[in-house]
Amino acid sequence: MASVNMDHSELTRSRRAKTLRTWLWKGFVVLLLLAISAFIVFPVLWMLSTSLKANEQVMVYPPVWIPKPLVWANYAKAWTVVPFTRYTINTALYAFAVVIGTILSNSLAAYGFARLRFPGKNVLFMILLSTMMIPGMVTMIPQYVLYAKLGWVGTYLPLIVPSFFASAFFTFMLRQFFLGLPEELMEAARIDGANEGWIWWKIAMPLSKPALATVAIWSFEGAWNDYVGPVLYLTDEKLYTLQIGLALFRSQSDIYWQYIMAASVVVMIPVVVIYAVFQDYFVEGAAVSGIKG
Amino acid sequence: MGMNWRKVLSTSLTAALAISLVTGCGGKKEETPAPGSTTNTPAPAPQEKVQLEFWAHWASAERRPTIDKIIQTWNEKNPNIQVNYTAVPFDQIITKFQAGVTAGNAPDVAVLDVFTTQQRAAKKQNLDLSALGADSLKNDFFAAPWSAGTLNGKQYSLPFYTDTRLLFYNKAAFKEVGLDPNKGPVSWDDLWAMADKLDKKSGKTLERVGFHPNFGSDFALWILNNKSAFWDAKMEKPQINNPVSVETLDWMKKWNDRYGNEAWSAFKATFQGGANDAFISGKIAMKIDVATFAAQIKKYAPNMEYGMVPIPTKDGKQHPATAWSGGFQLEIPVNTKHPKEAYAFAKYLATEGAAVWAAEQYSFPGYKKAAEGINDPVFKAMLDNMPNTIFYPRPLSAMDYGTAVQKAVDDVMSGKAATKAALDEAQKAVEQMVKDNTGK
Repeated sequence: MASVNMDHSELTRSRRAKTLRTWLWKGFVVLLLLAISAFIVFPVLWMLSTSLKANEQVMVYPPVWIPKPLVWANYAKAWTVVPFTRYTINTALYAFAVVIGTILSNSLAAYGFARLRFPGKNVLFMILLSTMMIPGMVTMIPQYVLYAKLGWVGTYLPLIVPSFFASAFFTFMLRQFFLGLPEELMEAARIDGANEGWIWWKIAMPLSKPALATVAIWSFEGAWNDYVGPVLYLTDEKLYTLQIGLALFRSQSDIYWQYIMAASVVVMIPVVVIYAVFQDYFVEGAAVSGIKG
Repeated sequence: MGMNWRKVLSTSLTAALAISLVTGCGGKKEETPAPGSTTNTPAPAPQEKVQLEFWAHWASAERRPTIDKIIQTWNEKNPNIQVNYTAVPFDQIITKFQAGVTAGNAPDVAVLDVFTTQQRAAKKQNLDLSALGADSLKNDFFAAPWSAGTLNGKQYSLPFYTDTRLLFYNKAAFKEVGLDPNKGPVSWDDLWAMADKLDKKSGKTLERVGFHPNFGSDFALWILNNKSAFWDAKMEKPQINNPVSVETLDWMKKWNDRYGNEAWSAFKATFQGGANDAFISGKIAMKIDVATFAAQIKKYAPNMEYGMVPIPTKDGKQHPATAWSGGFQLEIPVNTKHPKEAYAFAKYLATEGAAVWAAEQYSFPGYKKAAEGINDPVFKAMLDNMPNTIFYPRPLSAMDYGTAVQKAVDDVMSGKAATKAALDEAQKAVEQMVKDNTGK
């Protein structure tokens, strides 16, 4: 009985203690998160700081966080030493083409694997997935020889065309998403006389925006940040991409950190903007398809 | 429904348009057989006009103008052999070169790292230049960089620039402790005795270190300097645990113990680049570095008083391998379509071009006349040191043997292993490497 007849003040006290504990816990979590964020943001801030430093300040110890003076000219210099405007246009077109190719080809393949019945489907799917096990370095030279024989080296074709032929990872991801779509919708469309192409484009695709956004962001990032591919295949400096431009600041002996950082800041902006804009889709897509990014 | 298919179509068309826009320039290139019609639309020349592709890693605002100038001079003089320069990022140029050779679309001439030249020759990736008459140039170049391109008596590259190592000493520090600033160390004993005077400590903390053989120089240098080598003369059998090796590493260990491993590590952690370089800021009184380190001093401490002497040896006498050199070579891939023209351009680059490069870029040329033509005390010191400079190749059967050796050095310095035991272990590891790579 005693426990039922709990004193009012006692109750308040325990509640207050509980509130206090909750607050302490919350405070701890926030501090922890802040610490982790600081850890993650640190390189970005360092990049910003270095990008505004004069050459003599780049390597000083103890490190300087707020450069004096702020050398904004680093940005202008970085942009003109290497023709970055041209590289930006090249990279944007390249990334755009890859995104289109990746979305169209992977969603088509994924739709087939998720929604169509045909003999050997599972075996085919296993073979597709097994291609993920082969490291890129192994296929690099054979691929290069193949593209050279096609006469594609020196052009963007070896970089773009493969994205129009689907890849194991994105196909798998979209297939998982398509599997989760209600079969009734497609059934209804079939009864109304729609063919599979129509269902893919008019039903599966619109319902899969979050997953498609994820694919778009990842493939954009992949193309935007791709370095070895463009270096290997492009032979004309006029066709170079931003990542090659960044690499050109590094040579054996002299590394111009302030210019690398200034250029990196600018190169990073589109990726950050795209992520910020599509963030909701991105998280949702990764969650629904059961893939952790 | 039709509307939507049109949308799909238009999207694909946009994509196709994007591709064609991006690839437009390169696409055209494929129609012409010559590897190098990227910039100029190749007019059907009356005489045979050749377009050469040239790759190097110079892209910065400091480097680019010089190489552009060198090429422009060539192009003006040789209207029928036009050269197009493409800057390729330093870290990928070898991979790109190899891929190009495999697929038959490498450039005609490339500037590549000297340590991998023989490897490419062994794999038949670069052209035998002896067949084009390169042997007659042998005496025009310094022996060290020249030998880097020689395999089985044939020449596979022309030296572009090279370097050598010297001992730098701080004259102000010498004066401060009563040493003659005009007399640098000559022998290992000199180093030890001078360091006795130059070392400064407060308690256990090091404030100035006279010299440390594992800073700016390493075991690989000292083993040559002590008239031995990690490999037999044919570069086939490792002899990493030979008696001289053990003696040399013991000597390095003695230096490390002199300062104490922990104190030295803590001291080293305070070293930085630029104006705060350990030597420039006076933390180390004597150090070994590439001779062009002088350019750093000029840049960050133009008033610093310093001396440069050949690297001291055990008995105080210089011999042909007291220092080693690296650098960059000009190579021609085996499947160039224009071997003669490519060789002519490479020869120009290695001689006249190297002279321009040396004057503007402060890099020491492999071409003797170019080096002699530059009136500069540092170049003079390098020139004098070339007879003491060797190029020590990496054995084709164990290109990465250095990691095993480095582990032995680290273990000995930190006191984890005794010298002989550590070197025995390294020897075993390298023997295994050779076995894995050759099956012998």
